[in-house]
Amino acid sequence: MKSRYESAKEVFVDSVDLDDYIELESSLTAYQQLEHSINKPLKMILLFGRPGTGKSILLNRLHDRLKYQKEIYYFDTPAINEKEFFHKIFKVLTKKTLPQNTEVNFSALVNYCKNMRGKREIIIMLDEAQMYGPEMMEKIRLLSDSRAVKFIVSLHKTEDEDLVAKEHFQSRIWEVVELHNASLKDQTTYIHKKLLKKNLFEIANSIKEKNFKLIHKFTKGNYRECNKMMFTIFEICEYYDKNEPAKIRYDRIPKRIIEMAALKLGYIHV
Amino acid sequence: MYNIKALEEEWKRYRRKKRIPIIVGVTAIVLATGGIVFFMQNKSYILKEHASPKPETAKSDIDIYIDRGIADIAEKSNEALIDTPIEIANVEDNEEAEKDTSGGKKKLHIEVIDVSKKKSSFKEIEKRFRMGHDIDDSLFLAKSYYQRKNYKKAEYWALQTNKVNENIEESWLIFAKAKAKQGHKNEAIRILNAYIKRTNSIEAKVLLDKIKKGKI
Repeated sequence: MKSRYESAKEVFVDSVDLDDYIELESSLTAYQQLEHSINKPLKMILLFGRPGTGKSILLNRLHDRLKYQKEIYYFDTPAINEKEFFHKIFKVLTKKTLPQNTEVNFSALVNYCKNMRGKREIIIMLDEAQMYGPEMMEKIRLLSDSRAVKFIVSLHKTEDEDLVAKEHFQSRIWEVVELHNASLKDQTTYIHKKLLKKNLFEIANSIKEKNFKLIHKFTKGNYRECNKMMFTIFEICEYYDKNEPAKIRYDRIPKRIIEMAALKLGYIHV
Repeated sequence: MYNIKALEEEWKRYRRKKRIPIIVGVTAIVLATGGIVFFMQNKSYILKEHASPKPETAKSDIDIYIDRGIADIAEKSNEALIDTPIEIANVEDNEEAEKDTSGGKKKLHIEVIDVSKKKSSFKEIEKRFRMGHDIDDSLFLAKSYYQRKNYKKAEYWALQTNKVNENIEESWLIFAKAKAKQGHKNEAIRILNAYIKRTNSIEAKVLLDKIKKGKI
């Protein structure tokens, strides 16, 4: 028999799936800010935040919402090399596939973009942009200078990448949208809404305020960590439900299980 | 699926480790509190032992004389039909009280008195009586004040003794003698008569005779 916790566990499998998108106060603000920036005559927009703060899903959502209104493209994974990247750009701009054994002439591409000015406005969203090298970033900037292509660059916020951001965008970025970890309130809403979306009312109600506080303490409000934590909690619950039901109460999640999950994920140590 | 048993063991170790600071903290607080209490007790004992005697102030006299007990006895002694200046308690209580007084246990305050009969010692004993209502204390004060010819206070403390236990003969006798000494001879006679009527005490009869003859 399928344990009730199995479905709950699946809710928190980490993925960038728009169906799983949870509208929160903070993410709504970031979305509106980003949408507003797109409508401004900006060349580059930087979306900034620590890993797991919801940058990818935000870009996905923006793409999904605007794809029928604007020429908007989402590059979810960075190109492995410059050649591949410009192949992709060429395809976006010309709507043609580059013939085999040919390479993009960058100067010609910039000129092509300049000629497009006023005729077309293309938005390209680059996720995980910290993986692009400085040279490539410079070329991206030159393309954006044509004012026919607008780039939304999503970057991880780490100490090193802060430096990258500073070096390459300090004078070129016109707008920065920063995402933060969730507050306790937002994280509570996030977990609740996720479970309720899958009709798991009982399980949602079994997570008490104290549990949310503890989960938030361990995950620091990071959505990715939260997903991992919830997944592990429900996996442990599932084990007890199937093998040792005396050790679990269905009306609440014991603190013991949350701490066990935290131990498992390395948030705490013996 | 994880190895839940191993995870459980790990969690138990984690919980034990988490509790150590709490246990240490609580133990430290208990020990510190105990230490402070012990120190304070010792300190107050030392201070008591070495306290310099303070002269009795006029205020303390006033305190004593505005006591309700005096007002009671004044009222009661003016009522001719009332035999005693003190309310009579039930027999059981009296018996118990008698047992208490005839128990023969030597109380600590007696040592204090023997060492010094300074005013400060009296004050200490008065204070102690107010806290513990020990008739040994009040009777001692009545006798001591009588000896020092402070008849008002002797009368007061005899009355206090009587309030706690009305069967202490000495308190009746001191009360009557103190009254007589203050010139209230008729009152003293009336009080002694009431007591003799109740107890047929020979000592009371002897004292009554002395008062009547003006020997006291």
